[in-house]
Amino acid sequence: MTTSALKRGAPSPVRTDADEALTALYLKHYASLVRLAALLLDDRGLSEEVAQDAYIKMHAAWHRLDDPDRALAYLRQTVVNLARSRMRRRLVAIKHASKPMPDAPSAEYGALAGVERAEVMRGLRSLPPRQREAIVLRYYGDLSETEIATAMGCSNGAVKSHIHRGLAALAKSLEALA
Amino acid sequence: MTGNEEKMREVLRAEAATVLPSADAWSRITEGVAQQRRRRHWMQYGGLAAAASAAAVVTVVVLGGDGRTPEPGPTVPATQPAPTATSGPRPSATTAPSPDPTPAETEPAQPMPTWPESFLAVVQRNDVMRLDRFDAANGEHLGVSWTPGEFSINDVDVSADRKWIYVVRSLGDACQATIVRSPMAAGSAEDVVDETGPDGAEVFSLALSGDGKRMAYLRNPQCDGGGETSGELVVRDVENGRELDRLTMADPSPHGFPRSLAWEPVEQRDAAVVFAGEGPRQVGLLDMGKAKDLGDVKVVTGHNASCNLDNVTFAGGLLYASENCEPTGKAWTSTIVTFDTSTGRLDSRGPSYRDRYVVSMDADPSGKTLIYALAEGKDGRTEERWVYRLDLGGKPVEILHSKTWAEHLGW
Repeated sequence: MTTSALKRGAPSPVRTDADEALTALYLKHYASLVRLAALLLDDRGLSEEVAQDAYIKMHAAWHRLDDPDRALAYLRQTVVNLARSRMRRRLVAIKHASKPMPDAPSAEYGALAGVERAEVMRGLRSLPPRQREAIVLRYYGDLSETEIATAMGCSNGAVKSHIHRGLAALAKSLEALA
Repeated sequence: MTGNEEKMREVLRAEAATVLPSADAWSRITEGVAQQRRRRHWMQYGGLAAAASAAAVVTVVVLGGDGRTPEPGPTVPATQPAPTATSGPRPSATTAPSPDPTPAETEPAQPMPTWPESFLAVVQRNDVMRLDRFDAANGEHLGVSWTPGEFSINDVDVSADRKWIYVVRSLGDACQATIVRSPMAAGSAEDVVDETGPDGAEVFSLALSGDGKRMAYLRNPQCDGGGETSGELVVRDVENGRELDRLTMADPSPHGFPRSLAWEPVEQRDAAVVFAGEGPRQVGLLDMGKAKDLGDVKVVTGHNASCNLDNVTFAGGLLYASENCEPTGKAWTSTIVTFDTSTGRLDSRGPSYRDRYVVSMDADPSGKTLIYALAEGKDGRTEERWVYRLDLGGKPVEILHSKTWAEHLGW
């Protein structure tokens, strides 16, 4: 299908550029984007949903992407935005829930990681969302300040400040790590 | 990067490595894309039909008709693109959108990988070896699978069911080795084979059988002499380490000293042994059921007899090896080659690399994909490594470029 046909939105039996890109980006980055979402959210099921929605949105927006090389940045940004929105909804749900959410790490995590690591993850989850996002994108995503700023929709200075504050808040539990 | 930043990175990566994407993710994405297409399609033509109805009403009012006047057909505004014959069915304004009659055709093709999500590689950081896990799609570092402490790792293999990692560990002294196994997911490692003590040996290659019940490895019992003087192939039960078979080196050895090993996973009868001797390295095919000793092999013939054949692995009924050549006055080249296991003849030549050579290669359990690591130059022990994934019949894809040593790849 040609780009114009894609713009018309008509079903077509032919693979499009967007389809090709979707497949390639899925193979290359899906696992890491699910993991990114999982680190931003407290729910692994939701993280799959967020990553999948990001791919679907990227496919829909393909013809609007000026530079196809920016597709990964678009995906990342969408994951951050969707995770943020899911977190907001989740926080509202928790606020109105009759019982507090358990604050324990998952069973898998408990089996795989030490108590100190679990402590760091607990600390990370209790950080303000922006600090958590900046830390996850910096130290899991290995992104530069500029890339993080793009993904979070804020300035480089704000990124620096979020990372600095987040790390300071986690310093105690990080120093306890062997 | 500060110590706390390093720790933060390790914690996040370890946590991320515990998140495994679901198997149906791709189908959910393609379904979402198909739904979106259908929605766009119906919204557009639904909108056109609504506009047409509005135009009809306006026409009736202007004409002062009573509704019985024959209505004009839907008028497509000139500014709207007219649907073409390839645009799919046109719904009427009163027809509710129905599911796309050909949803399968609208979905992207699904060339899903058959290879496991991750592979293992022995890496060295600050003179310490460890076994790391990497994403097979993009080479992303997923975590540390095992660390041998102060010792070194000689080889690694993964059980066919991908539940266990088997590691050959050298305990400092070359003649003291153990084979340990560690659960792929999590848990503590346990010794399966103990080649330590006064009768200890150097163990340097390991291959698990396709049924996951046996392991074969090469050992050099005379390693304390400082040279490669002896070699044996030992087969043991993976569960209890009981010895099932042992082939010793022929005396005199016609092919040299055995250096590495691969085991054909389907029939489990053939093994391929790389021999290092006076001349170039050779590969011999060994019938595990019939061979009397390690000299009882069918030597395969490469493209050029002056090249080293190395890094053997079986995939898709063929034997894969790397042919590392250094023609006089020319740059070092390394080529992936295949051999017909029934005849031992060269079957085909695959990707070739100039001034790089293959240092490790392994086939995935399905036998459809290879991973291999390249190093720079001749024996150029620069630490830089490039890891490629090759879907058989396709083109190699570089998935990892490591500035530091990464070898002994295993799926």
